[in-house]
Amino acid sequence: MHTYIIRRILISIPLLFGLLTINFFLIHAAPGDPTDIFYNPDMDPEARENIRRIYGLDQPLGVQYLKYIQGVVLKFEFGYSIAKKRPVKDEILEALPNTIQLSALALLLELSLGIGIGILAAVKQQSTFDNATRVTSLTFYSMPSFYLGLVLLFLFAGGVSATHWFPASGMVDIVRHDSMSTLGRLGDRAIHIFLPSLTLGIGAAAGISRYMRGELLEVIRQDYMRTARAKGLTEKVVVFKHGLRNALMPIITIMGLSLPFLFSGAVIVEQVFGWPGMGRVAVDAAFQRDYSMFLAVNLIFGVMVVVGNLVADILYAIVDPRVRLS
Amino acid sequence: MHVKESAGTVSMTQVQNAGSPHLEVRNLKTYFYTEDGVVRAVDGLSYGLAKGETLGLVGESGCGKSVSALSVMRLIASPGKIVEGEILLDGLDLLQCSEPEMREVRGNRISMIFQEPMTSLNPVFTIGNQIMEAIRVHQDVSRKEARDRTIAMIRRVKISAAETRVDEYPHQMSGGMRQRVMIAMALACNPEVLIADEPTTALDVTIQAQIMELLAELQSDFQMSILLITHNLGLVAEVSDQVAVMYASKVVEHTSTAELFASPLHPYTHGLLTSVPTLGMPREQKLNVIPGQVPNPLHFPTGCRFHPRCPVAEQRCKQEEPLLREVKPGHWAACHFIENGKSPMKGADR
Ligand SMILES: Nc1ncnc2c1ncn2[C@@H]1O[C@H](COP(=O)(O)OP(=O)(O)O)[C@@H](O)[C@H]1O
Ligand code: SF4
Ligand SMILES: [Mg+2]
Repeated sequence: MHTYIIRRILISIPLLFGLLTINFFLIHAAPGDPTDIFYNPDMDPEARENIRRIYGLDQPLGVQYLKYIQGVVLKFEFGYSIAKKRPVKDEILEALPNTIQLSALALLLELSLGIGIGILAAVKQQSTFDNATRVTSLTFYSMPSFYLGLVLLFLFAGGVSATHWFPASGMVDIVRHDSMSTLGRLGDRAIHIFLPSLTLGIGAAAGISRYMRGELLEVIRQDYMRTARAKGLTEKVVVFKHGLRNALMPIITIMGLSLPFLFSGAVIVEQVFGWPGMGRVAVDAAFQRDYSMFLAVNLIFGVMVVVGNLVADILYAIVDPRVRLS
Repeated sequence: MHVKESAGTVSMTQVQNAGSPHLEVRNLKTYFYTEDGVVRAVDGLSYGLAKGETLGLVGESGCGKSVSALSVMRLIASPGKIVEGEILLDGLDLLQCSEPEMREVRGNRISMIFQEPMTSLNPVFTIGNQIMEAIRVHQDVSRKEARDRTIAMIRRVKISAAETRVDEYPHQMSGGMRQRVMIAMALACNPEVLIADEPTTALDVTIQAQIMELLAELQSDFQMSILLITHNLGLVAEVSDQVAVMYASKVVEHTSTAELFASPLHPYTHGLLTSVPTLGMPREQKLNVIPGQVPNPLHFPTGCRFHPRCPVAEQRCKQEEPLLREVKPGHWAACHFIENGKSPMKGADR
């Protein structure tokens, strides 16, 4: 299995390299360039050329490309952000952990809510619970995350004063956070991350719960479930031992594939909740034609796809003995 | 003796020569309430299985054999329901048992093996895990003890290298091996009754013979009664002590194997026996020589359910359902026209 994982990682390197190359030429082909932000109508064209020269934008595209790739490969440097006036790596290292935090909690919510509700709905098929969750799942699944975020903000972060339970934006209470006790700080972080992670996770949870229900109902009809009952096992053991593990297998694949979507969903949700993560970095990079930043953001998305697939494959091999990674 | 007066209802107590039967089914009715209507999958079924004997339950596909077996295990799921009858295990009516009481019976007093060895084992657990589970649910033994017994059981069903195979997964085994594992699992708690629902139908002919041999051997070792469900009359002739012939959700004839093959009395049984392939018969020849179709359990024919296909049916057969009655000592059949132990079919006595 270790050789399999190493091989998979090696295979993904040219893939990510290709992604970087295509994006490099695409973003340079787009109209505008990073110096636009310095531009004002009174500016001397000479001065503007100067700025371009400082950042190396006057050189032929091929040369710029080779220099960029050289930095990435040899020094693990991802260039300089013209808009933020600091190395891309610094900016990313600051924003990425915040997004990972948000996405991880959303993933946890997605899995626990989705799998839990799916199991209950399948076990109590056609019950009120099943019907109620069917309708709510569909509602949340089809609701755009920015809209859901706004609704939650309105309901629980100020719009309705009786239920003003959560802060409307940020990761911590900027004014009081530093003067809080350790426990207080933890609580402060928790109430700040709750609404954004809920917004991000609940749509995905709705999807997972429907898949989970369907899979479990399918598994419950299998012959080996009848064998398990014929042994004299309780229905609980039959469903949770014999059924669940089989029903989880497709869910693992779906989860792996959904990882990059969760991440790109975070970009939008972060905007709504003023969360200082990759969302803002990504949007700024695109609007400001901040080439290096844009490329780095895209590379991270590429890595998410690769990692999501790899994690799914590995989990699958752990759960299903018929799959041998080699 | 308890006899209800409705058609087709009878106690089978007297069928057996040796005392009261170990497992007795009386007037069992299991229906499926589907969108198309009520499927009467088992409808007035009665049979008795004597201690230590093998009863062959035979009938065409769809006549209700599997549903009747699952009814005995009380494993009928919605939309199915056992609506009437008695299932007596040594006098204990399983239909009156609570679910926890029933769990004590399943896998412990009555075990079952199924037709599809390829899909009857859980693919994500080792066979050892699955056999051990059957032991530990009924017996208070340590993991180590259960594992030792599991390995011993795997050896009993003649799988070589039991110590290593115990940790293998079902997909690493052939169909015949998996059926042996199923047998090991079923016999792990030394049950009194084994229900084998077409245990060899999905297997190669040579493997079939090995499995049947194994079952016969284990039957005498374990002192168990076997209900062998099959549509293979040849198999029944070889291993059964008694035979119950099912047609359209109920038993139409029930007697000893020797008697049944020597003098079948019911016209349906007669038809079945003449449809058994004989050596030297051309391959292309159709086996089923009984004209007509197996009746649909949604709409059974009135009167005798066999009347549309019966070569000797008369007007009475369309109106009146024949009772399963003792037509000669130790020989039960459900046909209006069996008189003095003689079949209405010409040349039936062979
Ligand atoms: N879950 C079910 N729902 C509806 N009908 C069923 C169900 N299971 C079995 N039946 C019907 O019951 C009848 C008997 O089936 P079965 O006992 O499997 O026959 P067999 O004698 O071949 O084992 C068939 O007509 C079948 O279609
Ligand atoms: S009762 Fe009539 S239809 Fe039924 S088997 Fe006997 S002769 Fe045939
Ligand atoms: Mg069957």
